Amino acid sequence: MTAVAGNGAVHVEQVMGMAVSFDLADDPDDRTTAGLVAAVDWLHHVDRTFSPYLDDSTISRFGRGDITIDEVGDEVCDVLVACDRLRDETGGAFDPFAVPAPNGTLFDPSGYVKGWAVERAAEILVGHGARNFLVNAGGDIAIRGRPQGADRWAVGIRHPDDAQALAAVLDVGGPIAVATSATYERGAHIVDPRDGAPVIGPASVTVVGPDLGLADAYATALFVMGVEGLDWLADRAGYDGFVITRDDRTFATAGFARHRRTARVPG
Amino acid sequence: MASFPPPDPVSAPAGADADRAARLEALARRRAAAPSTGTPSGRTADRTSDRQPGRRRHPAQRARSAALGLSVVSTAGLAALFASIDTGGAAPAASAEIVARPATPSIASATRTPTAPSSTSAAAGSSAAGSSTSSASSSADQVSVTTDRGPTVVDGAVFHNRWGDVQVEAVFSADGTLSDVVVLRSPDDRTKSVRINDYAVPRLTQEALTVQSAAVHTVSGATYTSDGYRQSLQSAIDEARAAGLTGIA
Repeated sequence: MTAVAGNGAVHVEQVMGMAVSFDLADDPDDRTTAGLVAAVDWLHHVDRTFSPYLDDSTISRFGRGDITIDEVGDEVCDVLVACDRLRDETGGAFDPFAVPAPNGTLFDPSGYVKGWAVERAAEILVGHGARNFLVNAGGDIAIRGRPQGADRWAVGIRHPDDAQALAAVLDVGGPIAVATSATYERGAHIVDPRDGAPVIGPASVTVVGPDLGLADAYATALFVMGVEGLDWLADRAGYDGFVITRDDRTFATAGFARHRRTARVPG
Repeated sequence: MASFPPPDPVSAPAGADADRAARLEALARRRAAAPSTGTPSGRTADRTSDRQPGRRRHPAQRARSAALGLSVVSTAGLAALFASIDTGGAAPAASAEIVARPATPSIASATRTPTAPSSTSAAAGSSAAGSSTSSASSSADQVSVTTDRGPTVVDGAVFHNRWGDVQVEAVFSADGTLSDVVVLRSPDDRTKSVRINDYAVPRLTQEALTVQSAAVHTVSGATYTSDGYRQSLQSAIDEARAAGLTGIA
């Protein structure tokens, strides 16, 4: 962790195959420092339990059929039930029970687990007294409170064609979550669970809403649904979406505008 | 190892326990009946061959259709906007003058404050000029302009085409460059698609948003690997924060 007096603290943890950045707006004390340690430990615990890359993770053993639902434990059951609900809610556009996993099985809940784990990491920090911070897990962000010297966090959405440019900027106050789904980082890895075919999809899909687990899963579902999925997303209370098509045009739910930094003058 | 938090205490709606039990039971049954141990490639091949062509349109195909339709609408809207500006005979850099030149100038001048803002890029001059608002929405060849401290918002006239009414709004920076275009009204108003806004002009916004100018605390994007992180904007932001700079990249 790097801390500078009066400037909060920053910590970057390599876990779950990605870099997770913790940005604490307030200077840490003993309690919030312990919270950061607990949050980091939690993410490593999730990695060991839920990683589809580890042959001996609970998820891999369950996916292979080595263990049954009765043997996976409450934590994994929580995720299984949440994924099952999401499958119904998305009409199968998000279905961890029907997508190929790195461990060779057809069960990969990563699209929900990452956001779920980071959302709970944020709650661990809150439980240790941290009020103003963000956790950015490889581009998916859980936000609490406010940044230093401002009311709202400025969140850039990466331009799909240029890693050094932004396509849009949000101004958001916590608690809120931002998740983006796209293929520019890791290739065409998103599969339509309904027919098993790789999804070409839009250039980028961003979902904003209260819970990062749901936002993460919704972003994956919206990527599979395409632009028309925005109508579906608009029916999810509290959630809004922003889609950049491959011909560089942008679409959003009506409610997305309230999150966007506006260059316009009111009136 | 630190102790982990207890199971999520978030209050669940009534019946959630029963729903949870039912779902777990159904999942257990499904997995007992057909454990998913097949290889992804084998399954994909099987499913692909089983698929009946034409039964379901690919999502991207639907997106392309929607995009094409909105492109037509947007182009019409933009045409309407710029036709309006042409009617006024004013260039975007002098957008504040648009209100003075519509076909019925009496309406505009009646609602317009006498202190017209500067149309140049001088920031101090712009902010000192205060605001000026004028609107005339019913006439087909009028636009409304709002200015205040730099950006100038121009509402295009309502344009009627065979699909319905179209109106767009253009935002000009203090230096007169077009920075954003927003569709205010489109023929889809009465359909579910009203929720979808099309900003219509590719990359105008994006080009304005370099990291240097946007000043963000963090960046959302597709999940990057540890390698990808090193080249990401987020890593630059983290480094700047760690160096004791402000939260702004």
